[in-house]
Amino acid sequence: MQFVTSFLVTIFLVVFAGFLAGPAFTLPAYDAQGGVAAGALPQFVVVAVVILAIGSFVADLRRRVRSEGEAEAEVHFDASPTRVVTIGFAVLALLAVFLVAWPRLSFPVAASIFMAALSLLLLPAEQRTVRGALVAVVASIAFCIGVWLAFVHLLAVPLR
Amino acid sequence: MEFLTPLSEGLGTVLSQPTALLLILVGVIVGFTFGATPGLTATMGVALFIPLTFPLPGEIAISMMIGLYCGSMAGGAIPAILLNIPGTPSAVVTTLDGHPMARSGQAVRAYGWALIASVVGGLIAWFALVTIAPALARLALRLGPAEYAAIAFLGMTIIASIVPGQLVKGTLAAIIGVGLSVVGLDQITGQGRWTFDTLPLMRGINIMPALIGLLVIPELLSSIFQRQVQAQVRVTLRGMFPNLPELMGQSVNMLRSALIGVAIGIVPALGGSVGSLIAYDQAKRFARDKHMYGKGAPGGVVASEAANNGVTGGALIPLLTLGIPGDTVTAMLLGGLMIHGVQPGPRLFDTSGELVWMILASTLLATVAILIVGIIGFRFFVKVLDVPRHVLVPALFVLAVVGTYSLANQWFDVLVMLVLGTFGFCASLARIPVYPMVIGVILGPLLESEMRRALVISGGDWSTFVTRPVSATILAVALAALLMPLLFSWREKHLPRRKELNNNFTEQK
Repeated sequence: MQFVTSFLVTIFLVVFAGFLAGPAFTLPAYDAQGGVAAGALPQFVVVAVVILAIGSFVADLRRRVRSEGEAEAEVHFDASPTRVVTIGFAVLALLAVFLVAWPRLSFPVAASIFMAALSLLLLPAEQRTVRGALVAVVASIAFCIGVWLAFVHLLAVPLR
Repeated sequence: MEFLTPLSEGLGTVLSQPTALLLILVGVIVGFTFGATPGLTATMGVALFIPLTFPLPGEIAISMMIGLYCGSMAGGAIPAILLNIPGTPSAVVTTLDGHPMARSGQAVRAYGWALIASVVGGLIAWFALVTIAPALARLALRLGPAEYAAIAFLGMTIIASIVPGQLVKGTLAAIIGVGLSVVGLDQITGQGRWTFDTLPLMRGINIMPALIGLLVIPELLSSIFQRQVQAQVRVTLRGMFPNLPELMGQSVNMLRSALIGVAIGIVPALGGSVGSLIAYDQAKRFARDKHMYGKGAPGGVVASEAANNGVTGGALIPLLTLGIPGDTVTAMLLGGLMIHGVQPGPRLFDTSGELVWMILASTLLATVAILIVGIIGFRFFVKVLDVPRHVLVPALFVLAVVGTYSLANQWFDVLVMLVLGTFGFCASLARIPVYPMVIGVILGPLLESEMRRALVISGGDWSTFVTRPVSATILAVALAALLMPLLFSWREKHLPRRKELNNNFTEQK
């Protein structure tokens, strides 16, 4: 998983840096006195990101070739790589849907749906009963209404 | 002892405000709760509670956040002892002896040692903070733009090179962070940089949404995948605290470990876990019962907890005097301070002296509050371990979104948080560290503006960075920080081969 994500992140960084290179290189890098102008740092960032992203991937590739046949170390999560990727991106997708729905449905409704959906998604297998689901949904609604009341009435933040 | 007068004034101000005292206590309780819950961190706690401090006066809000920071460090020991799962990364060393003590029926005693070591470590760190910080700030005031640029560069190089064997990834992350800080209008010429003629991008990427996105979202996602264990322990306060001879027996260990923590805390990015590990190693080396270390020695718990609480005071030193955060929590604190109109740096002691001393007084009170909260709230914090993860994590996601929105009531901030959160998660899967990105976002503007000022003063002469002695020294240290990991890696690869050759040569002779 680490190798595949490293490859994808490298591709993303190189493409994105290429996209940002145009605006960066239209700015001047040096002023008349030999000092640094507005374009210097963006230009440096673009070039350095491309070089280091490729360097980082090459290092991962070399590590993978060297350790071929050995189990790849996946130590930072207590779950299988497939589960980490699936659940991780599902949560991020739910979050994006919540942000899109918020202006349309109002905060208490959108947040309650988001939290209930996420709670149900993360519900452990042994608690997947009607009662377990009901508790998760009720807790979500109560929490979101509490947050909405606190922010709107106590902190005067206009949550629509 | 010239700090006593302003400090007593700061203490007087805090003590005369019951709200401030109450909120410091609330901060410590919330911090303990975040520390005691595996998967939740002090960084999350500070990030999620910053919006709740909006209506409060700056000094009280900051006091509450500091209480949260101190509380979370101490709270991390609870699951480390009871469940063998560190509540915070810095409590990982506490598990080595804390959990074996719990298994042999001494859970409460181990917690008592952890609590005392946390408070003593915090007090020593606080003393270091009030004595070192003002002197360092005075020294920093004499520095020019070239030195500031060098300090910002040093901060980034240390952080980029800190991940073992990952110098390229660390540097890449730091430069991505600098790239994020570039977005917006140029501070000097007003030219748009990566703004694409859109108003939100012209305003630039605010620090807090970037920090919440890069630090909190990936941490929340990773907390989903941590196993949840129920605490099975009989909670009683009997026998919690050691007697005086036992306490005296650990006094040197406590002092040494706290000082190690302070020293480690001052260096950006090393953090509590490194401090605890070094302190534990030293404690074991000097201990009479070294054979018991790893099997349930109180000295191991003491070393770890005194050191990781020492780190809190140490990490506040570069934050308050140079505006450079020592760890992820102080990076969040920096964002919180800026939201409340406080700009940390060498001029802070001059421009907002009263506020700084009030912050330092609050740190002292928060450290003392750890003891009270730790004793009274022990039963509650053990119960916190049983809160189901599938309810807690979604609730924290909601708070992260609402908190980001409420920073400036801007949808753009929430979008930035989501995009950077997604990138941070992908980066962590690819083992690209996110902390250097955060430091790049924070130090990027300082590095650029001071470098440009230095070049204006020198008339475009780049040698100004190496001809000024302080700047040259700092740059040399930065270069060493970059080259040392490469050197160690080269030695690791070539030394065994050389040894093998020598052995072969000797055998042939």
